[in-house]
Amino acid sequence: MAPTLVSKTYEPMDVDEFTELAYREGWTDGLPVLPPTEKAVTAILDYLGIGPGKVIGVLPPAEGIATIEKIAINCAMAGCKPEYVPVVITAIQAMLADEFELLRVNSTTGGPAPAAVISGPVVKRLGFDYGEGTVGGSGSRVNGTIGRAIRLVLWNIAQSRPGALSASTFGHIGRYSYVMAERPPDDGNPWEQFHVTAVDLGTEDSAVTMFPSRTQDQISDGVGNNTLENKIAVLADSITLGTSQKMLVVNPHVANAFAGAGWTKKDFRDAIMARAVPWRSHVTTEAVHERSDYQGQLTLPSAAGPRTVREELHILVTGGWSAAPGYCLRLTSSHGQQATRKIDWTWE
Amino acid sequence: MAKLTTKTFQGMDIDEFTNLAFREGWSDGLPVLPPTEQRVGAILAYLERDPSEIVGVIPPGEGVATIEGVAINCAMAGCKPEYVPIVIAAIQAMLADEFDLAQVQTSAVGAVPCAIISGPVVKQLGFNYDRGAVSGDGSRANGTIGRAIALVLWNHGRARGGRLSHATFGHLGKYCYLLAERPPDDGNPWEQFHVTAADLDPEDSAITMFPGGSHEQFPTYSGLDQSLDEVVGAFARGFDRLGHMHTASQKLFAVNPLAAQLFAEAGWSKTQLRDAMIEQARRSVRDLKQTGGSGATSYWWAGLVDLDDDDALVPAVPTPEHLRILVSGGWPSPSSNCLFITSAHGAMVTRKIDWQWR
Repeated sequence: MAPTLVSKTYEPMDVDEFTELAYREGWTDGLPVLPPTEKAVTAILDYLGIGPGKVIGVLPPAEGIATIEKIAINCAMAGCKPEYVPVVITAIQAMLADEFELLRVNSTTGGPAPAAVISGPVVKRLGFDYGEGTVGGSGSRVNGTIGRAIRLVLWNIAQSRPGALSASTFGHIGRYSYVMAERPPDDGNPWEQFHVTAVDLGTEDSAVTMFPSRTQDQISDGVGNNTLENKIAVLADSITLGTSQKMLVVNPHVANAFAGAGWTKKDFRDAIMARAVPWRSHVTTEAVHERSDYQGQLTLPSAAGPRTVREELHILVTGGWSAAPGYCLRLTSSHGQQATRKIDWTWE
Repeated sequence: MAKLTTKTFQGMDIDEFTNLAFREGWSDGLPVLPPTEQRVGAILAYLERDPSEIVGVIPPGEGVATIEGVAINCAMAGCKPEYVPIVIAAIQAMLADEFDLAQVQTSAVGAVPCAIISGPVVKQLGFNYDRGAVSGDGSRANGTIGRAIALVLWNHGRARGGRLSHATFGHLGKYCYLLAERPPDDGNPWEQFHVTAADLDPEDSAITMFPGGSHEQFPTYSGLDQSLDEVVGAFARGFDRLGHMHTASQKLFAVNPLAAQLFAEAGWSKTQLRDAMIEQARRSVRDLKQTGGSGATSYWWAGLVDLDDDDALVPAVPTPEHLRILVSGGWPSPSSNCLFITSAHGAMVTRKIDWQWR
């Protein structure tokens, strides 16, 4: 291995001994990790052709220094192929955007999990899965291991660990691995690509968007032969405005039902926004602001300032062709806002 | 080591194994460990059961889950041998008729069994029930037992998207989905989960499998100076959104210890909280008609109210059996996040864990 690497090495051991060591040393959140062998780590570094000492960022709350070497090691523990690693690096860069508020995402009681949304030509080029069962594992190594690598970077470099630097009450089921790839325009997605709508990137660009998800809730837009207006009303009933940024993930069946009737993605989004309701609890967000006794203890959702309509609700098309009732996923944030970064890499 | 029937592979390093595992489809996408002779042998030696004994036949693939097969999946998940009796109990619970495993594994909902661990086993095996209870604080018991259950369903049940499963999206819990209850002596003011759910004894340890369909977390603002009725109202909002009202599903409310304490200290039992939530989780017929359907008589709630009365209120939770309360998680800030998990098919099943840890 190149002499420039600085990480501690261990004498040869078998994989069972490694597993015991990994749990003892706290290198994983609970799921098994692979040993970052010289072979696997070197393959990643050779592929990247970037100096292992290069710093991608400093990750809160532990202020861990994410060098290319450390990222490569976590990617190896996650089982990434070398060509997946540029996506992981881009995800880290997106999470370091000011508006993402990684410090709070990693440490708050809300326990959110950054969801990685992959869009653009990279989806097909690397073979991301976007069909049935795409959330939570359909056998795709690219979806699973890239999401896992992002989590291990946050666990090992940022040290976002519950009971230590993270106060998350429950955590989030997406904290093991959380990747959603957008359906491409030529395979069931009738609408403008996600990164084009979100940040005006080009249609030929590939992008990673990191969304600080606190909740991922599956809802149905209704049963049987429902009108489009009723579907909007049912979906909007779960969208509460002003408390956090939202993402609505729609399956291609739902998207094409609207697109076939002439609705653009903006029409769909704006119709939901027009029907969405204020928080229906007796305690509104505004009321929480007024409770001065708790100001010091509360993390308020308005920290990032007011959002425009375009920023408030994002629409993503992915998943299998659902029968009615058309399932959709509703993601809400609690801290921070999503950040999109172009993937500056060409896979040759 | 007892004579085993599974195909063996020789002489590869860990990187070659990883490539083989993904190529052969032994994993849903996350890395798995090689089920070495050493690891599988240790599990079988611990269990002292015939490797060919059949635990169950897992739909939809109708895979025969023998003790040997289960041990291999547990080894791939990184389980210690003493965790495996819990995985076996989980499989047995999911095979109960009322759990409806074939539907859970194949339907468009993309549901996933959530394992709930309660009783003395929680402390005995060191489950995490504190901060990060859902997604791991480094606890090997939580992570690898949840992962082993997932791998059994993947490799024996073969519920794979695009093939035998038609999950629209799937579910993030498919990688690993396990919650341990807070013990009575550490922040849980109420009767234990398995006692309420299945009349088991407080000294029993149990596993409950819940066919989770959606998983939501939101702040309920319990712990702020609002009335308990208002807090119950916030809880009820977790279940009565129209997007959740298309089916009369069973629901699981995972309440954090701060919120539980708040009610317990005011004299509320778990049953009283449950009933108060049911009372407040209601939507009008007018609202519900927006959920469509081919005809009003096909609504699951059609027989519960007068369909011509738009102001009539339909309960989101039709009977007390449709709502279970679990105390877990860390001590939060006053904004106080709780979890709302709803099913789509099947009903939760609780089984006593019939094992003595030496």
